[in-house]
Amino acid sequence: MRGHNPVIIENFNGLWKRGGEDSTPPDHFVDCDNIQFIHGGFRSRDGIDTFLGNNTTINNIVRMYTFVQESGQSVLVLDNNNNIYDVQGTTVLGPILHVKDMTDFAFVSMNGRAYLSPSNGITGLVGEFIYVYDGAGAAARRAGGAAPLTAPVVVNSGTAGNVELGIHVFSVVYETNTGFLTSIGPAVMIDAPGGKKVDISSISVSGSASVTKVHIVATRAIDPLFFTGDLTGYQFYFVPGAIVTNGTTTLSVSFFDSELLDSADHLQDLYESIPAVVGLGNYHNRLIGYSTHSDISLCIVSNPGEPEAINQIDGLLVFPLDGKPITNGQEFRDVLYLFKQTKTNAWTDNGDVPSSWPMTLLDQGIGASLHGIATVLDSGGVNVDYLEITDYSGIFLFNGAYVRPELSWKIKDFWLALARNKFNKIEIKNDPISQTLYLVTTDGNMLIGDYSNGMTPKEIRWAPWSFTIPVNSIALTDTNTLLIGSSGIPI
Amino acid sequence: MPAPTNIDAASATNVGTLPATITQDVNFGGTTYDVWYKYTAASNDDVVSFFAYGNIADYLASISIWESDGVTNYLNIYQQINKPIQIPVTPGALYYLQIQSFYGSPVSPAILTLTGKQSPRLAIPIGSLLINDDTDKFFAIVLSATDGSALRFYNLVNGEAGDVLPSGIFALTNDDQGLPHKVFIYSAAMVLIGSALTIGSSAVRPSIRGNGNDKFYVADPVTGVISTVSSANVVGGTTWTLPTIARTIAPNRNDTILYWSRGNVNDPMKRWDLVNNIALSDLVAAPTGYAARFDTLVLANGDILITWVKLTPSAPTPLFRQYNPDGTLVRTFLSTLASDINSGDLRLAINAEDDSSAFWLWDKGGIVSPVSGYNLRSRFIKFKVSDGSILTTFDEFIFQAGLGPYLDTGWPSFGSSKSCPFLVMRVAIAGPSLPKNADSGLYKIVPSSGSGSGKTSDSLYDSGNVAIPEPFGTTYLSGESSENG
Repeated sequence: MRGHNPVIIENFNGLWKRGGEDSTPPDHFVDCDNIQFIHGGFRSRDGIDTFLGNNTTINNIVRMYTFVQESGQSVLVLDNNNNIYDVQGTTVLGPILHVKDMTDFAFVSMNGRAYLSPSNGITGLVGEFIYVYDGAGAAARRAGGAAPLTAPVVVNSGTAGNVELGIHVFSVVYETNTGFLTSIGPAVMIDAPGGKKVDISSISVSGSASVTKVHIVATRAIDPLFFTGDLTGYQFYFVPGAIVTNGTTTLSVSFFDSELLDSADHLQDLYESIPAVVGLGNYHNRLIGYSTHSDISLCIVSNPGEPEAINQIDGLLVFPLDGKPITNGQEFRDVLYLFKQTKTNAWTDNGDVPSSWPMTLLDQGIGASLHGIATVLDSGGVNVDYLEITDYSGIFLFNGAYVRPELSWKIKDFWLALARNKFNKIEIKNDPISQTLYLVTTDGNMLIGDYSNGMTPKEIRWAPWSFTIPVNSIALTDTNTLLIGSSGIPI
Repeated sequence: MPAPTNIDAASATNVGTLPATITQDVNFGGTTYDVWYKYTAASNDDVVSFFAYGNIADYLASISIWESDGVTNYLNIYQQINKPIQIPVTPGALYYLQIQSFYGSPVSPAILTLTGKQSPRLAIPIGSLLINDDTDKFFAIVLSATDGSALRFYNLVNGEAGDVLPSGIFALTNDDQGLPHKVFIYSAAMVLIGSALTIGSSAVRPSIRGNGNDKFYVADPVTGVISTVSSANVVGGTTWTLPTIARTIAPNRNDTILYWSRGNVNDPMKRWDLVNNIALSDLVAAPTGYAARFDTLVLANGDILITWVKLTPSAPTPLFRQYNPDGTLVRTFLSTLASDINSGDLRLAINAEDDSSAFWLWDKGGIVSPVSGYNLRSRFIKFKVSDGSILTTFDEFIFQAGLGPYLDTGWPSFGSSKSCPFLVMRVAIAGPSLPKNADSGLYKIVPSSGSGSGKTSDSLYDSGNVAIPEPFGTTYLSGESSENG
């Protein structure tokens, strides 16, 4: 071009989509596609290859998560036939779960197991429940479990023992193969003479293959003069050592009241089956799940270390009601943050039951979309320093407060053009090794953000990626190998 | 209108692909013709329905089904008038449909409407109702537990006894088929595991009941011997010989007591000590004049459900009762069955979700046809155990030996047979898969290694290598037009 003065771009800084084209800085492009950044420049993005070779068991992929287990990691994949598979290396296990109308699912890994919840991408599926998967290829089963249905038969033994004089109330509790302790079953009382054992028979047998043990629970001695007859009105304790395998129906127990230390009261009011939610997470070693079909502003919180033990009375958090569902939840610096699409509130564990936790209104203009908090590498966790969050108005860094300007400041127009009714399709992953953010956008394409020059609105470099196939979901595995799940092209 | 040309097997008109509806005027020149159609079963067929209908006054369409030779009758479907029929078919096999005028020729008008449908292949939720067929070669059906609509058919053995375990593994007998009679174990996915136990052949129905855990108890209808078969189709090493044959049995959940009855009038429900192999005292005497019927159930809480029936010649009277393990009557479930539907052939099934909270009852009987005679109809009732209230109920017409009801309107296409075991599905089965989309699947980015570049094209499952969609960059230079870079 005659008379044109060459512009030397020392550092190319990616896409600029903000305002008119004539406001584009010389070191940015107004449009670019399928490039990736290299030191001092850019080149075509890397190509993709089939992950499963000739194995075409899994098709039409809708969602996937990296499942980290003690023995390795796998990828849980949902297809559009409502099946979830477990991809271990190039071996496909399952389907491990099929739920009619499951068009999305929530996932969290706790205690080496995967907790899965079928959803429609907005709330948990109606009439459905949270499932637990052991990672070995067997079908997932409903988390939790039903309490015993029958009371044991108890009689005073003729054998000397330590059961103290007075009325004792006995019952049983099932333990499942995931360590879940069910609610306490029907109870029965006995008037103990003192100094004897108690013989227990007809211990309830569960027909469930997941029930492995049965625990005997009992009250301390109750003075008959003050016994109310209400068998559920006294505090139960686990009888030390009084555990039988499921199917064993007899046991003799002997204990001093002073040995009854481990209370079983926390088992009352547990969900037998936990209602399905749209999202799962963890906080203080508790499982959290949010937006059931019937309570879209409800977050259920398990007991610490017992992800399936959720109290229906006090294991609940309620996001202020506004007719919109909770979309995300994340622990960050010891605080639990729950998000709706345009709101953010915080709860702090005060050591008491979740329903007593104080709530702090944080931001009433910015929230997070369903899959819109970046997980790091293949860990499923988040950065220590900040969260990367996708909101209607942009991609934000969050360090306890939203950092402005937003990280996506340079591509504001690009972001605002995304379909707002499909924000639950957006996914974001963070690969700090290559220093890249990967996002699935609402149109089945991708957006990458290279932050090797800095994680700031000015220094991050954006580039859209597209493929001849739509991208529905992404996952990082083997530390930072990017997997792409596609629903393909309808024939 | 020309004369019909499809007047024998050789000239039969091809029905084509189902679903199909064909209309034909079978009258010409004062003659009402017999007409023929043919159907080649599609690769995804299992059961199909055909309904040949004229009207209910003059042209009563009478349908017969013939095998591929055009002369061998198929499954006794012969001259069935204005009834929908359902038949199992073999993919690729040819079938002939002959439609005649019941009143001969001539009748006028004589407009035939022939409708053909494939059976549904829908997803099966937990709790759906599996009903085996009691006629040899006919398929079992799975009905919706919500409204009784047909969900899918399966080719299982035909018999009168069966039960399901919590794992979804179920057992069926083949006593409605040829000898020898055996117990067949199926996986939750309806796949046959095997048949290790042979039972005696008798007019008495065999009885099977699961223990709610891992095995089935089977009563031999000839010897009175009780055997067990595990969910893996392994016959147990212990057997028990009852004093008489047992028409109904049910073990408790601890495998310590077997409830059983010979099932004659006034026979009690007895108890057998499975641990010490001796008779115990009776659980409960029969209500006067009543006999225990085929299905006795033990709920998870130990209670026993017994179906008693007073077999009077005109109207069998059912009585459903729940007892404590000590024989104390807990509740009598009141039947709300209409008088037209009373039957002695009642069946019970454990509820899938929580087998101490509810159970299913299946009753059936005749209902006057609006056209002529009687039709068979099922009534399904889901009772709440705690108070005897009805949680769900619906009626469905029966297709016995493939023959549906004789109606004037609202003809169903598919249904269950009338006397079979009745199981509640414990495991969901997915519906047919949506087709694979081109190039769908799981991919990985192949990055550069070291100083080398990464993969320079995209490799897709179906399309193979394709170029990365045009990588480009466009910059805006002040005072100039945009330009590709």
